[in-house]
This record gives sequence, C-alpha cells and structure tokens, in this order.
Amino acid sequence: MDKTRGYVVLAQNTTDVDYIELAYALAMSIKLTQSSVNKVCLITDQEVEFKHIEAFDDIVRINEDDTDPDSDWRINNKWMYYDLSPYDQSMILDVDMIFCSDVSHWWDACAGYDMVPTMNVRTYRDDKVISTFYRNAFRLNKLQNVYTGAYYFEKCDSSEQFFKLVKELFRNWKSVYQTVLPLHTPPNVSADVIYAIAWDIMGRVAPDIGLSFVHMKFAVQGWQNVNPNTDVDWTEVIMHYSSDDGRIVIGNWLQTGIFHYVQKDYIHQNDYMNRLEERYGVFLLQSK
Amino acid sequence: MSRGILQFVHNNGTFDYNKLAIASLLHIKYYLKENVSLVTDESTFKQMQQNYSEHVDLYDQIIFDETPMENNSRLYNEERITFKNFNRLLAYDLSPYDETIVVDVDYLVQSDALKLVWDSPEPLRINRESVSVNNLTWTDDKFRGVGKQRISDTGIDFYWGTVFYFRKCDEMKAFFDHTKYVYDNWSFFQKVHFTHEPNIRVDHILSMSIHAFESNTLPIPGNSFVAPLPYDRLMDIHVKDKVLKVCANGALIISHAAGVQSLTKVQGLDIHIMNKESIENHFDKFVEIYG
Repeated sequence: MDKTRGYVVLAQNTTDVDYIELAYALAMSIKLTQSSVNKVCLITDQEVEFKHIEAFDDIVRINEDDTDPDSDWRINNKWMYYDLSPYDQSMILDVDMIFCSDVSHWWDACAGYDMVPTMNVRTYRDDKVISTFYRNAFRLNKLQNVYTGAYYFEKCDSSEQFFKLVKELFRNWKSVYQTVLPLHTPPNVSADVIYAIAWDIMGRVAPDIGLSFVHMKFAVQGWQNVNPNTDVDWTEVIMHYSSDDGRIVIGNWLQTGIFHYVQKDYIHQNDYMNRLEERYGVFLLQSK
Repeated sequence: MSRGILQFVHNNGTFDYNKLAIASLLHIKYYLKENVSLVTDESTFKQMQQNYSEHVDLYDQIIFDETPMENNSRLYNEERITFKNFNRLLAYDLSPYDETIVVDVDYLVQSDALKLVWDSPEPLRINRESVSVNNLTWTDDKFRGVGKQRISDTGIDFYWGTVFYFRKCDEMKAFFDHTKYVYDNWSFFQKVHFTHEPNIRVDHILSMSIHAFESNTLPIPGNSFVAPLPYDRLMDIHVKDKVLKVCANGALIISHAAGVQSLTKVQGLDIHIMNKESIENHFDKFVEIYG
C-alpha cells in the first residue's frame, strides 16, 4: 500500500497573531501550487473557523500535553509532529510560509531517509544565506545547521526515538541550553536549536539533500545599509508585490519554492490575502 | 556566420578616446586576430584620421552614428566628467556581425580567451562579478567584496557592460529593444530598482534588462539566456591605480593605491583599466609592442 504523504503545520493563536489565519494562507498556497502532494494537516489547540476548515485535509487537536500553555511564543510544542501527524511521510512547515512554486520532487528525494532537515536557506535574491547573525549559538557550539521550517520525517522507529528526545529537550530546554550551549546561550527556546541538539545527541549527521526555503529574516539578506542590530521590518525596507496569478515579487525578484515571510502581517499587505482567497475559490470551483 | 569586435568611440573633451581605441584595437588584433569595427561620429573620426592615420586601416568597418546622447556625467577620480556611451544600446542595430563582442576602449585584451565565446549556446555573455587584479576589495565601494555586486543595496545583480558578447537572434533583438525602453523610461526604472545614482548608466540599463529577461521567470535548467564570459569575472584596476610600466613582453606593472598599496604584474589576462590616463601614458609602448 502506498504511504500517505502530507504537510503538517502547528498553529496556536497568541494575543498578537492569528496563526491559524497564517496556516490557512499556507494551506491555500500549497493547494494552488503542488502537483502531487498537497495534503495539509493543521495541528492546533483552537476551534477552527468554517472558512478555514476546507483548506485543510486534516485538523488535529493538541491534547493535554501542551508543553507551555502560557507562552506567548508557541513553539514549545514543536515536538508533537510525530505523534499527531496522520501521514506516514510528513513535511513539517513553519506557519508563516507561502508556497510559490511546485516542490513535489522533494518527496521522492526524501523517500528512503527517516528524516531530512533543511540545512541551508536562501535570501530573496536566491543567494545561499551565509550570515550567522542569528546562528551564533550554532556556530560557536558547533551545532549542525538544522532548520525546521521545512523538515521531512517518515514514521519509523528511529524518527520516533528522535521526536521523543526532542520532547524531553523542549521540556528541559533551559538546563539543556546551559549544558550543551555554553557559548552564546540563547535566551529563548528555538525549535531549530533543539532539533540540532537532538541530531548531535543521536550522534548522527543530518543529511543535506537540498531542501531549502527563502528566509526573510532581514539581517541575513546581504544588505549593507541596514543595521542588523536594529529591529527592522523588511516589508518597509524593500518594495514587494504580488500578481493576480499569485506570483510574489520581492525587490524585483520572483520568489520560487517556499517563501518564509517571517513578518506576520505580510499576507495582509497589498491585498495579498484577499487575492489568494479569490484564486483558491476559483481552484475549488474548478476542482469540483 | 560573421564575427567581430565592436568598439564605440566618441570623444568627450576629457580623454583622447581615439588614443584609447587604437591601444585597445592593437591588443585585439594581436591576441584575437578578429575583425574590429568602429562606431563613431564624424568629428571624432576626423580626429582619429588626423592623429592615428597609420592605424585606422586596421578597422574592418567604420560605422557612423550621430545619435544625440544625453549628457551622462559621472564621478571619475573625484572629478565629474561626461561620458558619451549610450549608443552601445544600439549595438544590435549597428553591428555588422552575426556574433559580436562589444569591448570598451579601456579594456585591454591580453589573451585569446574571448575567442571561446563564438558559437555560444547562450545569446548573451556578460560578467556580473568583478575583482581587482590584486584581489583586494575597494575601500570606497561598499558593494565590493560582499558577495555579488548589485545595482543597489537591496536591488538586482549588477552586470558589467565593459565587455559583452551577443548573437543576433529574435531574443537579443527583443533584449536590446528593452534596453532602449529602459533608457527612454529611466526615471521609472530608477525608482523601481532603487538606484540612487543620479545619472543613467549603461551598466544599470543592461542589468535591468537582463534581470527582466532572466530572473522573472521560473528557472529552467539548461535554458539560460545569459552566461558569463570565459573569464567569469571582470578583472580590473581601480581608477586610483596606475599602470607603472609596460614590459617588453606586454606585461603590465600595476601600482595599486586603492586599498592596500601594492604592486601587481599582469600578463596574459584581459583587464579593465579604469584609470584611462594609464593607457594614454603608455600608448607609444603599446604601439611599439603590438603595432
């Protein structure tokens, strides 16, 4: 029997951000661009509005194991994917992403591995990110350059063990950081850091088979005239627009693959969300 | 299929462009042994005939172009001077060749590497990276040494129009038409591409047009419109650097003032000499070696 494949995204609203709305936009973009695998599972702890439901193939409720229900930055539950994903083969996604073009070929490339992280990300100009501005803890403590923004796993014993370890690391992240990250110890928990630590504890080298996405954290874009130590909203620094057919253009560069926009209000700028919904509506009509 | 080199020469009152052109021509004929045609205006050519009559016959064709050119002033060694080079955007229409290499007169060919461009699958060959021959970054150019060069901090890739190859085909006709469109609508494109340089620059127009043709479509492997030249980056010396000496075998001794002061010997390497006076100063030696 063929193995089931799908994307999984964890979204828990905070007082500031409607993460389910972001997941809804992500799911619509997947439906509109992916030629083979386009199932999307939403993992959440909230009721989902009727208009959002149709974009998801599966909606899974977080159970009582919520690691840190009072946190404003709801990443502490990023160990739940293995237990809650309904798919045999899953691709974890960050919620603040949009699919710009078909990446279906990734699935066959990942098949045969138990897990495949993203090991390199790109700027909006399609350059490989070389800045370690946000990754000093990785660099100084010699962690593998793991990104969980697009992260493949297949259900099997080894990945189950891995996610159990990740769960424990999340639950004890402060002491883990003190022990494992003596240099440039991050003040906040990070899924990327936790997963990288888990790879090291497992004594494994994470495979790099080319998974990647455009990462819009402003300090890694190679800009010379923007002080990385200031809090900069990239959408205010650089012109961006999208076409009616959904193409996203940042600084005159057409975006391809997965676009990790980071700036949470991006999808509401330039009427992007409304036009995405319109295109998705047409897609649904044509599909029926 | 006809092939040749195209030079654009229009005196601007600051440099003796004819002198630069002849120096460049002698290098090209020596190393590439290809036909060279000259695009010029009546006034400039008259001066060339007066001053360099013994070399004019080396040109394959003289093509007169009197297209009025907007004054294009740029800082050159802290002095603002005027360049007359916009008719390079007419290269497609003016070139008598099916395959053309456009070479600036301050680009000294010292190898036969450019011959490798003939029959290129890509209709356009042009470099987007450059490096100083002493491999040092420029201290007064903030876009240097930080990866790719861009036309602005957040903008698109910078391509050097100093030397480029094109093959006549429908795609290239459309490309050059687009460059004229950018030129005619410069204030719009300047804003769109966040260039803060006050004046139009041919390099920028080429960069914007390449970007329009190359980067706003999904990449298709093996179907590229543009590729680098055989030397995949433009080698240059800064306007503050000087050619100290031209050796008997043609090697250039360069004194670098930009960045760290140093000396470099350059031989067998095509090089963009931004300090135009350096070419003028050593003209007689070039004639002696290559004439």
